[in-house]
Amino acid sequence: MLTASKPIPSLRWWIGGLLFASTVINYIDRQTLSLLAPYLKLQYHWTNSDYANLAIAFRVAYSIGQTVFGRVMDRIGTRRGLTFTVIWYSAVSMLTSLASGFYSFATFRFLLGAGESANWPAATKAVSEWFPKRERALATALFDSGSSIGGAVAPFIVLWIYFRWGWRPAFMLPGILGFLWLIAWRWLYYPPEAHTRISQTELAMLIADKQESESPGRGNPRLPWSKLFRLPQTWGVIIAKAFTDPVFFFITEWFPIYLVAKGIDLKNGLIAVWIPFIAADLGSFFGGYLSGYLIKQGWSLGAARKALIVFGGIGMTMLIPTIFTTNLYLIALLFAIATFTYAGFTTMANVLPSDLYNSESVASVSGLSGTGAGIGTIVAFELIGHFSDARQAKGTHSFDPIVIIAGLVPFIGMILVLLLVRNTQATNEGLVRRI
Amino acid sequence: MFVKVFKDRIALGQAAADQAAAAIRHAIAERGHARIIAATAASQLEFLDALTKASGIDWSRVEAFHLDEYIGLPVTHPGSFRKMLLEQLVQKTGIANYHLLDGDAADPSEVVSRGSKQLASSPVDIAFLGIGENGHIAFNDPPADFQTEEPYIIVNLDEACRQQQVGEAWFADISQVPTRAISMSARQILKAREILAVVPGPRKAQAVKACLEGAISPMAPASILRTHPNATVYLDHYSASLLGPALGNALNEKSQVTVGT
Repeated sequence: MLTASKPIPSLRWWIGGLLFASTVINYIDRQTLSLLAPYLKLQYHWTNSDYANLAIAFRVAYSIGQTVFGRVMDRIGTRRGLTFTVIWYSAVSMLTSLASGFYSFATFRFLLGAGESANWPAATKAVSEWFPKRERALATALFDSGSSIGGAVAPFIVLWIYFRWGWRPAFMLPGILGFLWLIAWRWLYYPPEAHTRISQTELAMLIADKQESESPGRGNPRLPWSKLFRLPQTWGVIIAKAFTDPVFFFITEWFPIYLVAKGIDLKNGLIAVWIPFIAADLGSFFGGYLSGYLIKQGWSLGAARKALIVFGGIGMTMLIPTIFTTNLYLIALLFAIATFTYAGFTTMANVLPSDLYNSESVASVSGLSGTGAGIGTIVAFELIGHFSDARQAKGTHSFDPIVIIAGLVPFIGMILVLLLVRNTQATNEGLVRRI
Repeated sequence: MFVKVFKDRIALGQAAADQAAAAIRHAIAERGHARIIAATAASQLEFLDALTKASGIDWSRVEAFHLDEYIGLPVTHPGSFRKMLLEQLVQKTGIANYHLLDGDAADPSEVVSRGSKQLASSPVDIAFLGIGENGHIAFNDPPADFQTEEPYIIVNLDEACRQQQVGEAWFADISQVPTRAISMSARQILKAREILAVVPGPRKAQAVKACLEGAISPMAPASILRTHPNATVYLDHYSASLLGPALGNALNEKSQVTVGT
């Protein structure tokens, strides 16, 4: 516990900053492999299918971990929970520098995915402890944007180290950052009521906010799975994630390999790596803002959400024209449009469960859409590995079918969401909310 | 041994250069320096050009060795491998630590023993090779000596090998092509941690077929590369054109195929 001393004004925003930093480091950690992949695959004679399996090892552990660590955080608390998982994945990142081939990389990737998955449930919980309801969306957006910032700065750090000292030290640094972060975390993070440096006014505000939100729920029955699956809205929500997230993960995990296949030297092509991340960040703020603005303008909730979904479904088709160019700046621009509009789409996909379902079912439907996205991503990665290998001899065109499909799938997803997510008989029966 | 096929010699050269650059950077990162063996021939032009432009290689930490050289040919002759090595690699990268085989020296055996001592002093990280139209690696024409442990040896050049050099326009006619050369031995080449064979063009198709699909034999010298755990042969559609359906189809469906013994 901290020794009693002067209160820190607006302490919660310092906590928010810590959560942001944790997310940044988390993303630098995970981006290290995809940035080094074009070089490691040569050194270890990995095909793109081999690389796909490494990326899947991470994704499988990550998908499972998100569910498991949500419970762990609830049980042992955010302070201990995040301490444990940050030590875990920072150590794994550093150990990755000892890897010697496919199986050791796959093992470390799996362990990294498991550890890193704790960041979102933990940060979400920390936000709920430290921020009043009206500030939670902003605090969540703040820490979440750490992923884009992390993705954007990672190439500069990772490639800089790689070209100076090789790939092994490149895995060490993110781990070291994690341990440095841990010092700040241990020093600063306590729950509000146990914190010695929180001001009386801030504590009083948080306690008042909590009492207000602990009013009894409306006591709606939780819908059984069988009923949820029979609702078209459920499938719409699943599709909204499952048809878009794999495309974004294609960009996070495959972009360096894709650029090299396009004949672009990664070291001189960093602009194409960081711009899509920043665009995604701006896109999620834009999506959240625009949807809220449209509602204020009198649009129905459903129309305001669907406007962004249409925007994303159309915007992501901008991946397709990349097959006609090997110009770095044009590729960066088209991918940036795609990630900007994707972010709007996925922000809507994230809020649809709470728009549509009573609070008792929101987590279930969110979980389903997350699982759908995970399965979609794993299938997509297998296909990407297979098709890019089979088309290697096509040189700069080896990824053409993949980006065409990546541009079309969200568009199809958009059409399906428009068809499935609407007011139905179930809406009238009160099983689903009107939008 | 791994085999990869690319669209044309430019794409092939770039891909091979990417792999070579990764290997050199890795050697420097792990051991502080990289020891490389460079081949010089018409087939290596695009590859060496791409390699010299690769990012992030500290060439001052690279030590370069020569694969082979004619005996009795001055460095000023356009066919001289020293001349090509200097122009295509050393001068472009600024490698200071390089060892050329002085094929013009009065006593070639002295050049062989000096070169051998320098080469064998510590392990080689990566060797770049071509494969000749007659299937040779370095100047080990068929039947190649797969037994000798000498790092460099003096060899007689066969007619096909000498004719290739005329075909590549380094010499006006076969009478001008030297009959003897200094060559790195097959066993010494196999001691490199990694081997990269860059083999573009239709005139290599027959040799590629013999080396990948025939028996491992001194009559197809490059076939010995199949015994190396970390050798990669880079082909283009032309040099891969005579491969049989089994290997040919596999190369169409996968980005790399392993060919063993």
